[in-house]
Amino acid sequence: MLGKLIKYDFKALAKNMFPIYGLMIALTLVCSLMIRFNLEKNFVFGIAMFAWIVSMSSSFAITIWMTVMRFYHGLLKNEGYLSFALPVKTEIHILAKVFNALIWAVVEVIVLGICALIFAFTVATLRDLMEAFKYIFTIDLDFYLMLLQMSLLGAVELLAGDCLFFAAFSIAHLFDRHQKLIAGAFVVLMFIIRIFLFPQRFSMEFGPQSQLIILQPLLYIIPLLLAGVYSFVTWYILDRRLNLQ
Amino acid sequence: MKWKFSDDVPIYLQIIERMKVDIVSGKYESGDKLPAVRDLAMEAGVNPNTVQRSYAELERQGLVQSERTSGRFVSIDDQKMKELRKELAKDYIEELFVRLKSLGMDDLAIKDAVNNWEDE
Amino acid sequence: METLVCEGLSKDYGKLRALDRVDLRLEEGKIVGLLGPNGSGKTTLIKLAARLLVPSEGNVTICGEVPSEKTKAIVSYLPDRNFLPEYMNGEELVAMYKDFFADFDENRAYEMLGSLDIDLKMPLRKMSKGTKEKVQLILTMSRKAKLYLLDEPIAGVDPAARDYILRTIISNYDENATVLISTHLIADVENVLDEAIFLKQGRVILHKSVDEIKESTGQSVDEYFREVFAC
Repeated sequence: MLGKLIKYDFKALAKNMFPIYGLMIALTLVCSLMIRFNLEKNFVFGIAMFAWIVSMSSSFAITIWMTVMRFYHGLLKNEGYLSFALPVKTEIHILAKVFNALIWAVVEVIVLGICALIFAFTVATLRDLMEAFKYIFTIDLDFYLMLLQMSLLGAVELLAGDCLFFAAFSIAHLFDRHQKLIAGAFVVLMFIIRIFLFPQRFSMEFGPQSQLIILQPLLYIIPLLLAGVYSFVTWYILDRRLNLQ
Repeated sequence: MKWKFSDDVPIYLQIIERMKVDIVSGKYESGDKLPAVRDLAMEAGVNPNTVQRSYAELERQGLVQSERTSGRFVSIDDQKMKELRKELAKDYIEELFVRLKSLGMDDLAIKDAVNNWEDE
Repeated sequence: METLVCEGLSKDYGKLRALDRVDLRLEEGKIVGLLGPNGSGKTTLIKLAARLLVPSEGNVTICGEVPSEKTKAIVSYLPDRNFLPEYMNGEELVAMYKDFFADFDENRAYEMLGSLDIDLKMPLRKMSKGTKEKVQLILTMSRKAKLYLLDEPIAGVDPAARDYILRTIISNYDENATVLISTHLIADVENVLDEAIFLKQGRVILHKSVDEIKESTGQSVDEYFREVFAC
């Protein structure tokens, strides 16, 4: 059942996400081609560049928002009447939403990678590329280790973030009105509480010792723990206090 | 054939009555197969259980016989037909009397009216 | 056997008591009308049985089991709103029901959709309200469930669609199943009902067979309902 649920959620999101990603890739192509052919002075370039920057910088937020909305609409609005009529345990529903959020985070990273490659291959000359390629091998292994750790941390944080939103909307659904507002307030509140409780998380250094991050299990444990707590709250509300009105 | 039901009488009784009329009027002859419960329910727009109940009652009164696999059949001979006709007629006459009495006619006046109607 | 049993079932929304100590026993093979004016607790009762709500007091069981993913496998629920993904078309919806419900009869669904003469590639959001309701009902009735919970299946559609919907119900429910139909349009459904439940301000004030009501009162269920609920 889990696989089927993920499949349907993926399909539902694909309808919204693929056009957005397609637009991002198209804008990347337009901008880089205009740079390649020295058309920077054209006013179209200004518009395209602006749109490109906006789309790139907001794409993560859009992906997260879309997956959260899938949770909200799929379980707590009209479609929830179907979801909760399925012979599926509540925890499976939640797991499906979490997996789906992670899948789309990966897709997002892949799309950003594609955009970067398109940009590099269009703008740069062949010689530049060769130089860059040589340079890659000269970089310290530490750099790649750090990159790996950053990605892992990013994934864990994203997981915690999604679970926080899920819990927030579950709590908000217990109220008759202003559900999005209540959910938003809860997310902000938890965020502030977290900054105060674990301030070290936000003063991470990018120094030569950065490879040591992996030796700081706390950085992983805290978001994982939070994800667990948020998921439990979500499960408890949806399983024991479900209130579809 | 359209089905119309009046509101105040249980539907299973109305179906029984309709079936009896159909038998007496010759629409169904002895040995004819009755529609399946679900088909009749669909056609009349009523609950299959209601049709079931009507059939059971018709069976109890000996007008219908069921064969386990092939369905229900009308089972009527001349004697039963006579009784059935009499029974239905009695109901109609009773209704006629009730209605005409409510108009203020007494038994004699009603009989007169019936005779006159025939002449006309 | 009893399909649906409620014992002292109550549900509060904040201070409002939507359902008040309801005791009910519904037997298999019956089509039961859950009748009452708006706000009498019909939808609440159905949602409790479908486990979209959790009781405040008392309990509800389906074939002896408290509502759970197990009972959901034998309960076919038609909510009182558009609950299907609007972007899906007929074909996709049938595939989805087949994916999730083991008791779903794909052929039956296709047969009924075929007789409706609708384009199976047309997404739900492009269909008229009446067609949408019919598609929802067809999917719901294409399951071989033990209990059908139909919340206002004929509200807001024209008389011809009503007729279609009622005929679809009586021709498709399983003989051993129970059908619970909630509605305030009593005259339209009473011919298909075995039993009627009157719900008033969250309480069951009557639960009788329709024949019994007609025989004892000499009135149709609709007339009797108007009398009972007269202001």
